[in-house]
Amino acid sequence: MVIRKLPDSRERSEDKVLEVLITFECTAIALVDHPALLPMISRLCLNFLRLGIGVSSNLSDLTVEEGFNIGRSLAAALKRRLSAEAGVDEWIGRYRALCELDEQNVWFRPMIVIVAKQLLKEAAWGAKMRLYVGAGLSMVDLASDIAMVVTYSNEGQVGNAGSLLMMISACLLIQLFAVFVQTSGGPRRVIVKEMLIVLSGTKPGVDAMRVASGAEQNEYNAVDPMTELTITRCVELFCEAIPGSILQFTAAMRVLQGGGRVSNIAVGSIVISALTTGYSSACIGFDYDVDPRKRRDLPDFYVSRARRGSNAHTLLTQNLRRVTFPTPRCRGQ
Amino acid sequence: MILNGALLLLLRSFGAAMLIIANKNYFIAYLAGDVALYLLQKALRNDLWYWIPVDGAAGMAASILMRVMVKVISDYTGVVQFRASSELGGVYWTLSMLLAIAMTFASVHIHFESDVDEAISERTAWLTVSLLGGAWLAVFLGFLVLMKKKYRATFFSLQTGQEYFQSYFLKTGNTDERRASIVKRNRQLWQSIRPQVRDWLKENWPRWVEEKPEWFNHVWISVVDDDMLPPEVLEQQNLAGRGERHRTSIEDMMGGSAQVAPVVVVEVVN
Repeated sequence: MVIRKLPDSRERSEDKVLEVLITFECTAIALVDHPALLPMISRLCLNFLRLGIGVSSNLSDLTVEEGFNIGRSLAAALKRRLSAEAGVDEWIGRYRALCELDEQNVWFRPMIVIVAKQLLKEAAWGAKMRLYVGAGLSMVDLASDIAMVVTYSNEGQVGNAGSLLMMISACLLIQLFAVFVQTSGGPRRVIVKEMLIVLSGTKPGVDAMRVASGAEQNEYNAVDPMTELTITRCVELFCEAIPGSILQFTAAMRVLQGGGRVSNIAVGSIVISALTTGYSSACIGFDYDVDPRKRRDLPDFYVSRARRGSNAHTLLTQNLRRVTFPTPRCRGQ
Repeated sequence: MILNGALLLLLRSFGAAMLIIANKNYFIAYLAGDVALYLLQKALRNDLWYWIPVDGAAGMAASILMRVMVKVISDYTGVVQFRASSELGGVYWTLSMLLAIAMTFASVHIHFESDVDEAISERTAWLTVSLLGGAWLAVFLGFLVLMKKKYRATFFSLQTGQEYFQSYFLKTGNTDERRASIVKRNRQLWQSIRPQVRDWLKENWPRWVEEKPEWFNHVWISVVDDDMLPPEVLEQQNLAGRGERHRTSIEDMMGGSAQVAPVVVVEVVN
């Protein structure tokens, strides 16, 4: 192996990774066979968000520098996906060399998934960010809805206030029922805690954090965390987003009916609501589509494979591209 | 996909608003009728139970709630994943989309046929629904055209959720993990093949204990019904749980009991 002068952090990381990898026979053999593995794993452990660089080499031709570049692209893949499994799946599917490594070594994927889960827990942009941002936005959303109920009531728009109140109440009630079903087999303190999470309005953020941190299903839970998150999203779409859109349209129509003029802000609000609802609904499909377990269970249904350049923000075209070109770099998939 | 959802929501919300202004009761009747028709066909096809493993009255309430939520979300945002047999089903999803679009046009027609004050001119209304409908159709057709041909059939599938989940177990060539995952689904969906599942579990249990596959963990074991466990395993579990296995059952909590066949240990004496 060629010894080169490395920056301190990279060197320290490589030392630590080497220390761990040589402990096990299988990983030690792989290190000897593929020298690029050490810089790759060392780099991914540093967990810096960097754009990935295209590497098309086979495993046998992989250079140390290419291994370094592959390793540094994991963080971005994890950030794009909801769970560590899905992020690692995208990362492996993106590079031919990793596909070969995955095929030849049963330990490779599980090991990277465990590392990725830890990285997601620790990264500033990982599980904690999803919790704080998701929970924060949900609480602001709940607070703004309640403020609107008060505003409508003060302005004498009792019908609108009543409709909005019904939507908020239905959303909370269904979420309470859902957590009751989900945790009914568990200790009462868990049920109470989960219900308080719903009432605080932070449920979507907490669910997203659980999925990102790779939380496992407890034996008293009816469904896994990913399904729980999807149910929470469905409840929000069903109780708030869709009725809210109808309510906004109806209010605008009534203004027009009365000879008034609908403000640009109201029109903008309708379009933005539709786009955010479209985004939420696309996320439901997208997260299931890129979940390796779902695709393994339903190979004839979840047709996509994670592809190069895929990104949640290009969701608009992504499903078309993934359905169109579902063949990844891995053979047989 | 964002555009697909956003355009459909704008189109449907516009139609709903037109109908509500014409007569609120028309909208309520349409919504109730549409959902009732959906639930009725699910019930007639013995496919009303949702796959979440919850029994009894709470399970039925959760099933109906989930069915209605998925139906409404599909109708208004067109989530294509909800065409799955365990959700709306392929054919019903497609028909539901067609009906949803047709209803939007019908709503505009009803609005202008009724004698309410017009909110917008008839020409503007038709132009709006035509543009939104056309744009949505273009996006969706683009999706269909670009998708691999073999997946298009899923939009016309007649398979029910029950058939789909039973195929987990019955389809030859499925892995142990896939076959074993049937016990994580609502037991109403695989009641008819329960004896086969029980025999298979009991037969293979010792092998899994030895091989320790990843899926053979405490979460999976906790959802296996008592009558499906080998007697010695059940005994162990009961001892560990002080005489009662820890089960995922809302019925237990509500003072009832899960519908689990009693375990009968038959001692054969020669």
